[in-house]
Amino acid sequence: MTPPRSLHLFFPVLVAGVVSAVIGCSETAPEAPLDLPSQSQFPLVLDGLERRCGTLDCHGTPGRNLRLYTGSGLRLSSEDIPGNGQTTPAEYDASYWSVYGLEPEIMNAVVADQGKDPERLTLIRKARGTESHKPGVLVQVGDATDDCLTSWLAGEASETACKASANFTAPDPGPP
Amino acid sequence: MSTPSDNTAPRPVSPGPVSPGPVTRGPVTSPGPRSRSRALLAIALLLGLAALGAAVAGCGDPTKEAEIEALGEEAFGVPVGPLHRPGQPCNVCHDGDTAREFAIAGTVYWALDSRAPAPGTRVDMIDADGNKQLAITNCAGNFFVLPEDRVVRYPYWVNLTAPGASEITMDSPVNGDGSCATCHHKTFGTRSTGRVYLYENPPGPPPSKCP
Repeated sequence: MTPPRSLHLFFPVLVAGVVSAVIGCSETAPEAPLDLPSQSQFPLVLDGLERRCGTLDCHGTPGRNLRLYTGSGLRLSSEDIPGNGQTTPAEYDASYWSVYGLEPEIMNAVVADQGKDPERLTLIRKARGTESHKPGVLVQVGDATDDCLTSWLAGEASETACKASANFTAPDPGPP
Repeated sequence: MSTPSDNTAPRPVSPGPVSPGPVTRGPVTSPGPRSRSRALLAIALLLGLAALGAAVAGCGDPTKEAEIEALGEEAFGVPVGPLHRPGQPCNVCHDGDTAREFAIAGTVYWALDSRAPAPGTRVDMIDADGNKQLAITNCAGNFFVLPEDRVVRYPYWVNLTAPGASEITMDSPVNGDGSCATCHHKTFGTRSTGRVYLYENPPGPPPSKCP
Protein backbone atom coordinates (compact mmCIF):
# COMPACT_ATOMS: atom_id res chain seq x y z
CA MET A 1 0.00 0.00 0.00
CA THR A 2 1.47 3.35 -0.98
CA PRO A 3 1.06 6.37 1.32
CA PRO A 4 -1.18 9.16 0.09
CA ARG A 5 0.50 11.77 -2.09
CA SER A 6 0.01 14.49 0.50
CA LEU A 7 2.26 12.59 2.89
CA HIS A 8 5.09 12.89 0.42
CA LEU A 9 4.91 16.66 0.81
CA PHE A 10 4.69 16.53 4.59
CA PHE A 11 8.34 15.89 5.39
CA PRO A 12 9.87 18.51 3.08
CA VAL A 13 7.47 21.13 4.45
CA LEU A 14 8.28 20.09 8.03
CA VAL A 15 12.01 20.37 7.41
CA ALA A 16 11.63 23.76 5.74
CA GLY A 17 9.57 25.01 8.69
CA VAL A 18 12.08 23.86 11.28
CA VAL A 19 14.96 25.46 9.38
CA SER A 20 13.04 28.73 9.07
CA ALA A 21 12.24 28.72 12.77
CA VAL A 22 15.86 28.15 13.71
CA ILE A 23 17.05 30.95 11.44
CA GLY A 24 14.32 33.27 12.69
CA CYS A 25 15.21 32.70 16.35
CA SER A 26 18.94 33.02 15.98
CA GLU A 27 20.63 36.18 17.18
CA THR A 28 21.05 38.94 14.66
CA ALA A 29 24.44 40.41 14.06
CA PRO A 30 25.18 43.24 16.53
CA GLU A 31 24.66 46.68 15.08
CA ALA A 32 27.26 49.38 15.19
CA PRO A 33 27.00 51.40 18.42
CA LEU A 34 25.21 54.74 18.23
CA ASP A 35 27.25 57.90 18.41
CA LEU A 36 25.80 59.25 21.63
CA PRO A 37 27.04 62.45 23.19
CA SER A 38 28.88 61.90 26.44
CA GLN A 39 26.53 61.24 29.33
CA SER A 40 29.30 61.45 31.90
CA GLN A 41 30.08 65.03 30.83
CA PHE A 42 26.44 66.07 30.65
CA PRO A 43 26.24 67.40 34.22
CA LEU A 44 28.66 70.14 33.18
CA VAL A 45 26.41 70.99 30.25
CA LEU A 46 23.17 70.95 32.23
CA ASP A 47 24.69 73.16 34.90
CA GLY A 48 25.59 75.55 32.11
CA LEU A 49 22.02 75.55 30.81
CA GLU A 50 20.20 75.53 34.14
CA ARG A 51 19.66 79.25 34.68
CA ARG A 52 19.73 80.20 31.03
CA CYS A 53 17.23 77.68 29.67
CA GLY A 54 15.90 75.49 32.47
CA THR A 55 13.99 78.01 34.58
CA LEU A 56 10.40 77.22 35.53
CA ASP A 57 9.05 79.71 33.01
CA CYS A 58 10.97 78.16 30.11
CA HIS A 59 12.28 74.64 29.64
CA GLY A 60 11.65 73.76 33.26
CA THR A 61 8.08 73.03 32.23
CA PRO A 62 6.55 69.60 31.60
CA GLY A 63 4.82 70.81 28.45
CA ARG A 64 8.04 71.49 26.57
CA ASN A 65 9.69 69.17 24.09
CA LEU A 66 13.02 70.10 25.60
CA ARG A 67 12.39 69.50 29.28
CA LEU A 68 15.19 70.18 31.72
CA TYR A 69 15.15 68.97 35.32
CA THR A 70 17.40 70.97 37.59
CA GLY A 71 17.84 71.87 41.23
CA SER A 72 16.53 75.40 40.75
CA GLY A 73 13.90 74.53 38.14
CA LEU A 74 11.57 71.64 37.45
CA ARG A 75 12.11 68.76 39.85
CA LEU A 76 11.82 65.13 38.94
CA SER A 77 10.89 63.73 42.33
CA SER A 78 7.69 64.83 44.01
CA GLU A 79 9.76 65.01 47.21
CA ASP A 80 11.73 67.96 45.85
CA ILE A 81 10.80 71.57 45.19
CA PRO A 82 12.59 74.08 42.97
CA GLY A 83 15.49 75.81 44.67
CA ASN A 84 15.70 73.22 47.41
CA GLY A 85 18.89 71.28 46.88
CA GLN A 86 21.17 70.41 44.01
CA THR A 87 20.31 68.73 40.73
CA THR A 88 20.09 65.01 41.45
CA PRO A 89 21.72 62.22 39.41
CA ALA A 90 18.25 61.13 38.27
CA GLU A 91 17.59 64.66 37.05
CA TYR A 92 20.85 64.74 35.11
CA ASP A 93 19.86 61.44 33.49
CA ALA A 94 16.33 62.56 32.65
CA SER A 95 17.58 65.83 31.20
CA TYR A 96 20.26 64.04 29.17
CA TRP A 97 17.65 61.82 27.53
CA SER A 98 15.40 64.81 27.02
CA VAL A 99 18.14 66.66 25.14
CA TYR A 100 19.23 63.57 23.22
CA GLY A 101 15.66 62.50 22.50
CA LEU A 102 14.71 65.67 20.65
CA GLU A 103 16.41 64.67 17.41
CA PRO A 104 18.35 61.47 18.13
CA GLU A 105 19.35 60.63 14.58
CA ILE A 106 20.61 64.12 13.89
CA MET A 107 22.44 64.24 17.18
CA ASN A 108 24.08 60.91 16.37
CA ALA A 109 25.17 62.34 13.04
CA VAL A 110 26.54 65.53 14.58
CA VAL A 111 28.42 63.57 17.25
CA ALA A 112 29.74 61.16 14.60
CA ASP A 113 31.07 64.20 12.73
CA GLN A 114 32.86 65.42 15.88
CA GLY A 115 30.36 68.26 16.29
CA LYS A 116 30.67 69.61 12.79
CA ASP A 117 27.76 71.79 11.63
CA PRO A 118 25.86 71.71 14.94
CA GLU A 119 23.08 73.88 13.55
CA ARG A 120 21.64 70.72 12.11
CA LEU A 121 20.16 70.46 15.60
CA THR A 122 17.09 72.49 16.52
CA LEU A 123 18.62 72.84 19.98
CA ILE A 124 21.48 74.89 18.58
CA ARG A 125 19.41 76.81 16.05
CA LYS A 126 16.92 77.88 18.72
CA ALA A 127 19.61 78.89 21.16
CA ARG A 128 21.44 80.91 18.51
CA GLY A 129 18.19 82.43 17.32
CA THR A 130 18.56 81.21 13.76
CA GLU A 131 15.20 79.55 14.27
CA SER A 132 12.24 81.28 15.93
CA HIS A 133 12.60 81.15 19.71
CA LYS A 134 10.26 82.94 22.11
CA PRO A 135 12.87 84.66 24.27
CA GLY A 136 14.99 85.46 21.23
CA VAL A 137 18.71 84.94 20.81
CA LEU A 138 20.10 83.36 23.96
CA VAL A 139 23.61 82.50 22.88
CA GLN A 140 26.07 83.96 20.41
CA VAL A 141 28.37 81.79 18.38
CA GLY A 142 31.51 81.40 20.45
CA ASP A 143 30.17 82.59 23.80
CA ALA A 144 30.42 80.41 26.90
CA THR A 145 27.08 78.62 26.52
CA ASP A 146 27.62 78.02 22.82
CA ASP A 147 31.12 76.69 23.44
CA CYS A 148 29.83 74.47 26.22
CA LEU A 149 27.20 72.89 23.99
CA THR A 150 29.27 72.57 20.83
CA SER A 151 32.33 71.19 22.63
CA TRP A 152 30.12 68.54 24.23
CA LEU A 153 28.74 67.61 20.81
CA ALA A 154 32.30 67.47 19.51
CA GLY A 155 33.17 64.89 22.14
CA GLU A 156 34.84 66.80 24.96
CA ALA A 157 32.76 69.31 26.91
CA SER A 158 34.76 72.41 27.77
CA GLU A 159 34.75 72.66 31.54
CA THR A 160 35.81 76.30 31.39
CA ALA A 161 32.99 77.26 29.03
CA CYS A 162 30.34 75.28 30.88
CA LYS A 163 31.31 76.73 34.25
CA ALA A 164 31.30 80.23 32.78
CA SER A 165 27.85 79.55 31.34
CA ALA A 166 26.62 78.30 34.70
CA ASN A 167 27.70 81.55 36.33
CA PHE A 168 24.65 83.49 35.18
CA THR A 169 23.90 86.23 37.65
CA ALA A 170 22.41 89.69 37.61
CA PRO A 171 24.73 92.48 36.60
CA ASP A 172 25.83 94.95 39.25
CA PRO A 173 23.03 97.50 39.44
CA GLY A 174 25.47 100.25 40.32
CA PRO A 175 24.55 103.21 42.47
CA PRO A 176 20.82 103.63 43.18
CA MET B 1 -54.59 93.67 -3.24
CA SER B 2 -53.19 90.44 -2.07
CA THR B 3 -53.68 89.18 1.38
CA PRO B 4 -52.17 86.28 3.28
CA SER B 5 -55.32 84.35 2.59
CA ASP B 6 -54.36 84.44 -1.07
CA ASN B 7 -51.87 81.73 -0.33
CA THR B 8 -54.67 79.29 0.06
CA ALA B 9 -56.23 80.15 -3.29
CA PRO B 10 -56.22 77.30 -5.81
CA ARG B 11 -53.23 77.45 -8.07
CA PRO B 12 -53.02 76.35 -11.70
CA VAL B 13 -52.12 72.72 -11.93
CA SER B 14 -49.49 71.56 -14.31
CA PRO B 15 -50.86 68.94 -16.64
CA GLY B 16 -47.75 66.84 -16.12
CA PRO B 17 -46.17 64.47 -18.54
CA VAL B 18 -49.47 63.12 -19.69
CA SER B 19 -50.14 66.32 -21.52
CA PRO B 20 -46.94 67.69 -23.03
CA GLY B 21 -48.69 70.70 -24.45
CA PRO B 22 -47.95 74.24 -23.36
CA VAL B 23 -48.81 75.05 -19.84
CA THR B 24 -50.55 78.25 -19.26
CA ARG B 25 -50.39 79.90 -15.92
CA GLY B 26 -52.75 82.52 -14.85
CA PRO B 27 -51.58 85.94 -13.72
CA VAL B 28 -49.73 85.83 -10.41
CA THR B 29 -51.97 87.57 -8.09
CA SER B 30 -50.40 86.08 -4.93
CA PRO B 31 -46.77 86.73 -3.74
CA GLY B 32 -47.09 83.68 -1.49
CA PRO B 33 -44.47 81.37 -2.98
CA ARG B 34 -42.00 84.22 -3.42
CA SER B 35 -42.40 85.53 0.11
CA ARG B 36 -42.09 81.99 1.41
CA SER B 37 -38.83 81.48 -0.41
CA ARG B 38 -37.60 84.83 0.87
CA ALA B 39 -38.43 83.76 4.38
CA LEU B 40 -36.60 80.50 3.86
CA LEU B 41 -33.61 82.38 2.47
CA ALA B 42 -33.62 84.69 5.48
CA ILE B 43 -33.76 81.74 7.85
CA ALA B 44 -30.93 80.04 5.96
CA LEU B 45 -28.86 83.21 6.18
CA LEU B 46 -29.52 83.52 9.89
CA LEU B 47 -28.61 79.91 10.45
CA GLY B 48 -25.45 80.39 8.39
CA LEU B 49 -24.47 83.45 10.41
CA ALA B 50 -25.16 81.61 13.64
CA ALA B 51 -23.03 78.69 12.48
CA LEU B 52 -20.24 81.07 11.49
CA GLY B 53 -20.43 82.81 14.86
CA ALA B 54 -20.33 79.49 16.67
CA ALA B 55 -17.36 78.41 14.58
CA VAL B 56 -15.49 81.63 15.32
CA ALA B 57 -16.29 81.39 19.02
CA GLY B 58 -15.26 77.76 19.01
CA CYS B 59 -11.85 78.62 17.60
CA GLY B 60 -10.63 79.96 20.93
CA ASP B 61 -7.80 78.43 22.89
CA PRO B 62 -9.35 75.70 25.06
CA THR B 63 -6.23 75.47 27.21
CA LYS B 64 -6.35 79.17 27.97
CA GLU B 65 -10.08 79.03 28.59
CA ALA B 66 -9.52 76.20 31.05
CA GLU B 67 -6.78 78.21 32.78
CA ILE B 68 -9.11 81.19 33.15
CA GLU B 69 -11.92 78.96 34.37
CA ALA B 70 -9.61 77.44 36.97
CA LEU B 71 -8.94 80.87 38.47
CA GLY B 72 -12.50 80.98 39.73
CA GLU B 73 -14.80 83.86 40.46
CA GLU B 74 -13.82 87.26 41.80
CA ALA B 75 -13.46 87.45 45.56
CA PHE B 76 -16.55 88.83 47.26
CA GLY B 77 -16.36 92.57 47.79
CA VAL B 78 -13.25 93.12 45.67
CA PRO B 79 -14.03 94.92 42.44
CA VAL B 80 -12.11 94.17 39.26
CA GLY B 81 -9.05 96.39 39.31
CA PRO B 82 -5.51 96.67 40.64
CA LEU B 83 -6.40 95.06 43.96
CA HIS B 84 -8.15 91.98 42.64
CA ARG B 85 -6.98 88.40 42.44
CA PRO B 86 -3.69 88.65 44.37
CA GLY B 87 -1.40 85.68 43.95
CA GLN B 88 -2.91 84.57 40.66
CA PRO B 89 -0.99 84.35 37.38
CA CYS B 90 -1.97 87.81 36.12
CA ASN B 91 -1.02 87.38 32.48
CA VAL B 92 -3.40 84.49 31.93
CA CYS B 93 -6.08 87.16 31.52
CA HIS B 94 -3.96 90.28 31.15
CA ASP B 95 -2.86 89.35 27.66
CA GLY B 96 -4.42 92.28 25.78
CA ASP B 97 -7.28 90.09 24.67
CA THR B 98 -9.22 89.05 27.75
CA ALA B 99 -8.02 92.03 29.78
CA ARG B 100 -5.50 94.87 29.54
CA GLU B 101 -2.06 93.52 28.81
CA PHE B 102 0.59 93.39 31.52
CA ALA B 103 4.24 92.84 30.71
CA ILE B 104 5.24 91.87 34.23
CA ALA B 105 2.95 91.39 37.20
CA GLY B 106 2.73 89.60 40.51
CA THR B 107 2.01 89.69 44.21
CA VAL B 108 4.33 89.90 47.19
CA TYR B 109 3.24 88.43 50.53
CA TRP B 110 4.40 89.43 53.95
CA ALA B 111 5.66 86.05 55.13
CA LEU B 112 6.04 82.43 54.20
CA ASP B 113 2.70 80.65 54.52
CA SER B 114 0.93 83.95 55.04
CA ARG B 115 -1.88 85.40 53.03
CA ALA B 116 -1.15 88.90 54.27
CA PRO B 117 0.17 91.12 51.47
CA ALA B 118 3.35 93.17 51.64
CA PRO B 119 2.33 96.64 50.46
CA GLY B 120 4.97 99.22 49.63
CA THR B 121 7.60 96.65 48.66
CA ARG B 122 10.13 97.76 46.07
CA VAL B 123 10.35 95.36 43.15
CA ASP B 124 13.58 96.15 41.35
CA MET B 125 14.30 94.42 38.07
CA ILE B 126 17.48 94.48 36.04
CA ASP B 127 18.28 92.75 32.76
CA ALA B 128 21.55 91.45 31.32
CA ASP B 129 22.19 94.83 29.64
CA GLY B 130 21.80 96.65 32.94
CA ASN B 131 18.41 98.18 32.14
CA LYS B 132 16.47 98.79 35.34
CA GLN B 133 12.78 98.76 36.15
CA LEU B 134 11.00 99.62 39.37
CA ALA B 135 7.54 98.71 40.57
CA ILE B 136 5.97 99.14 44.01
CA THR B 137 3.36 96.81 45.43
CA ASN B 138 -0.05 98.23 46.26
CA CYS B 139 -2.08 97.54 49.37
CA ALA B 140 -3.08 94.11 48.03
CA GLY B 141 0.58 93.24 47.47
CA ASN B 142 0.05 93.44 43.70
CA PHE B 143 2.33 95.18 41.24
CA PHE B 144 2.32 95.36 37.46
CA VAL B 145 4.28 96.85 34.59
CA LEU B 146 2.45 97.82 31.41
CA PRO B 147 4.03 96.94 28.06
CA GLU B 148 4.53 100.61 27.17
CA ASP B 149 6.41 101.16 30.43
CA ARG B 150 8.57 98.09 30.16
CA VAL B 151 12.30 98.70 30.05
CA VAL B 152 13.83 95.34 30.94
CA ARG B 153 13.90 92.44 28.53
CA TYR B 154 14.39 88.73 29.10
CA PRO B 155 16.28 87.49 30.97
CA TYR B 156 15.92 89.80 33.97
CA TRP B 157 16.54 89.40 37.68
CA VAL B 158 14.28 90.56 40.50
CA ASN B 159 15.16 92.04 43.85
CA LEU B 160 12.64 92.83 46.59
CA THR B 161 13.14 95.41 49.29
CA ALA B 162 10.75 95.62 52.19
CA PRO B 163 9.67 98.98 53.53
CA GLY B 164 11.89 98.31 56.52
CA ALA B 165 15.15 96.91 55.26
CA SER B 166 14.85 93.28 54.31
CA GLU B 167 16.13 92.57 50.84
CA ILE B 168 15.64 89.39 48.84
CA THR B 169 17.26 88.64 45.50
CA MET B 170 15.75 86.03 43.25
CA ASP B 171 18.17 83.21 42.58
CA SER B 172 17.14 82.47 38.99
CA PRO B 173 16.46 84.97 36.24
CA VAL B 174 13.05 85.38 34.66
CA ASN B 175 13.48 83.99 31.17
CA GLY B 176 10.13 84.08 29.47
CA ASP B 177 7.00 84.60 31.58
CA GLY B 178 6.09 87.90 33.20
CA SER B 179 3.56 86.40 35.59
CA CYS B 180 5.28 85.72 38.90
CA ALA B 181 2.60 83.20 39.90
CA THR B 182 3.38 80.96 36.94
CA CYS B 183 6.34 79.69 38.96
CA HIS B 184 5.37 81.09 42.37
CA HIS B 185 2.13 79.22 42.84
CA LYS B 186 0.36 79.30 46.18
CA THR B 187 1.46 75.74 46.91
CA PHE B 188 4.90 74.19 46.74
CA GLY B 189 5.52 71.46 44.18
CA THR B 190 7.89 70.16 41.56
CA ARG B 191 7.13 73.24 39.44
CA SER B 192 6.40 75.82 42.10
CA THR B 193 8.59 77.52 44.64
CA GLY B 194 5.60 78.79 46.56
CA ARG B 195 4.43 82.38 46.91
CA VAL B 196 6.75 85.35 46.75
CA TYR B 197 7.23 86.48 50.33
CA LEU B 198 9.40 88.89 52.25
CA TYR B 199 10.09 87.16 55.55
CA GLU B 200 10.55 83.62 56.73
CA ASN B 201 10.47 84.97 60.27
CA PRO B 202 8.58 88.25 60.12
CA PRO B 203 9.73 90.99 62.48
CA GLY B 204 6.19 91.88 63.40
CA PRO B 205 2.59 91.84 62.24
CA PRO B 206 1.95 92.58 58.59
CA PRO B 207 1.11 96.11 57.55
CA SER B 208 -2.52 97.02 57.45
CA LYS B 209 -4.53 95.79 54.53
CA CYS B 210 -6.40 97.85 51.98
CA PRO B 211 -8.86 100.31 53.50
